[in-house]
Amino acid sequence: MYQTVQVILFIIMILMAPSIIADYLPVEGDISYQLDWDLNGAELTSDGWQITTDLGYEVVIHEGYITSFNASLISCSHSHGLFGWLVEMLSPGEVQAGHGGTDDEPSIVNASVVESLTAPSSTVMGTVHVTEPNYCNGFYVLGQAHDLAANLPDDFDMTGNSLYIRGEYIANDGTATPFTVTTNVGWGTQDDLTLPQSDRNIHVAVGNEAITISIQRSLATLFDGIDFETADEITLSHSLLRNLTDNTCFIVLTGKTHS
Amino acid sequence: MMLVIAGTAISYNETVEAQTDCDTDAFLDVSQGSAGDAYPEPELTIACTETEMVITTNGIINFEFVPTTPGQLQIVEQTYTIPLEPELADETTDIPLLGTVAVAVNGLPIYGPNEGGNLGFGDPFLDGVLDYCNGHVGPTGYHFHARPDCLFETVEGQVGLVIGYALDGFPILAPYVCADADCTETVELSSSWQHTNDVTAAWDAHEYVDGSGDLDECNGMVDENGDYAYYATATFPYFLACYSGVVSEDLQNGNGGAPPQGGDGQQPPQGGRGNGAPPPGGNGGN
Repeated sequence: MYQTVQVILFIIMILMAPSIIADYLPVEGDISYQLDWDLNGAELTSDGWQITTDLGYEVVIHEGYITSFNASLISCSHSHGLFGWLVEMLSPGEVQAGHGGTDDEPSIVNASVVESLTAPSSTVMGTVHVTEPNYCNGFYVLGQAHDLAANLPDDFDMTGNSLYIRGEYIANDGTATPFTVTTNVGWGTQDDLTLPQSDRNIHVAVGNEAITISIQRSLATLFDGIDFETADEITLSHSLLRNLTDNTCFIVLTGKTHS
Repeated sequence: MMLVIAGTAISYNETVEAQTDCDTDAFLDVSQGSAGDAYPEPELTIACTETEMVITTNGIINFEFVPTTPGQLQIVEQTYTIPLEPELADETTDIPLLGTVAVAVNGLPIYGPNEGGNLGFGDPFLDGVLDYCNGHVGPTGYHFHARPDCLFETVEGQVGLVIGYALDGFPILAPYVCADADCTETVELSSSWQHTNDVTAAWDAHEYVDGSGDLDECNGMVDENGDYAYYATATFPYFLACYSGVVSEDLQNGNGGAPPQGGDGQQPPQGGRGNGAPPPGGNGGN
């Protein structure tokens, strides 16, 4: 009986091996990143937008910019069990966290793209060519705009800044108070990949069908938890960056996906 | 005999305070902070032998973790030994291109002023790839590349504030000295490394210009009491550019306290400050 079970398990392993191994064989393909906004909850106006926060403040935005510093996908080989571990052990040095390797992380777009927060809209971040077969997570960083950043505005110097936003908040008593936040702090997030309108985590395979990743940020939650009456400048800027990244979703718009 | 000073989080007792050479007061009580709900609690233990301070950390930071590089904050057990009585060496020693050169007062490692080869050995501070506390995660865990101001209520104007300890045993201090005898005003010390080239590689972009700042080539100086220290300057090299002190054979071979994998390629330029004398132009401590 025991020997029979062993034989069955062996046959199952033999049958599954090609599909498992295929996950780790080099396959070439493109990954495109686009920056999107979830506008739900925000009311667009003629010169900006406004929103009511979870703490009851009405916030009116007159001007703003953010800088997307880079985006990348995280290979499934970092989290794919024993076989993935074996592949990693046998592979040349993995590039991770900007250290230790001699090549760039192939899926990374070091674009430094400035976007308007006055009139948020979709923006193409860039396309990269990769050979890694499978990706499981997305990674996205807001950071300082450099001299050659795309879409640098004329009306505000974003060089060296990750976020600039100018507006006013209206307290419950109707008092309007202007505020301006400018920061050079970088703030990132790493999260699972999902499909549109779904919270289910998926993987995406590189192949003939180009991969398109929508990095979707939310305006509705941008000011969540911020008490304007008590927040100092650093608290305010960190809260905005935290809210932007914590509520970022990595949505696979095109590409072959699997669970 | 090793005297264990603290358990999972540093604490002090009278016996320890009597050990004047074992300066645990500079270290932070990391149990008061957290990287966030999703992460383990930070742990830091300081112990002293007769000759060394032994710093053990689990690699978890005591402030909010914000990823600016791929990779999660994970436990990385690390132990560093710091000489209790550092001595200036006849010649300086290069710091490793990658790896630990010092330990901050929260127990986390301090790296040199450059990134890995995949980022062109660039300056991570200028390139904006650090978090709000001037650190980030790498394959060997979280580390700082520039002054971790978020660890302190304030760094500005703080004379004698210990930021960390270099592996040669000399302290790294906040870059301020008293401007007068009563210390009613302070002066900020500046590095003598100047940004001379617009190239990516941090060491190629900077050049030591003797006398252009307050500090020597290693980014330190001898104070009015005759004590040598490094200073955590606002500009390159941020902590230290070479070891001024006598270092172990392991450090002489270019290894850090916890060297990362794959370090290769360029090395920092040969130092050769020559001797342990204070640099010209020092204006502190008057």
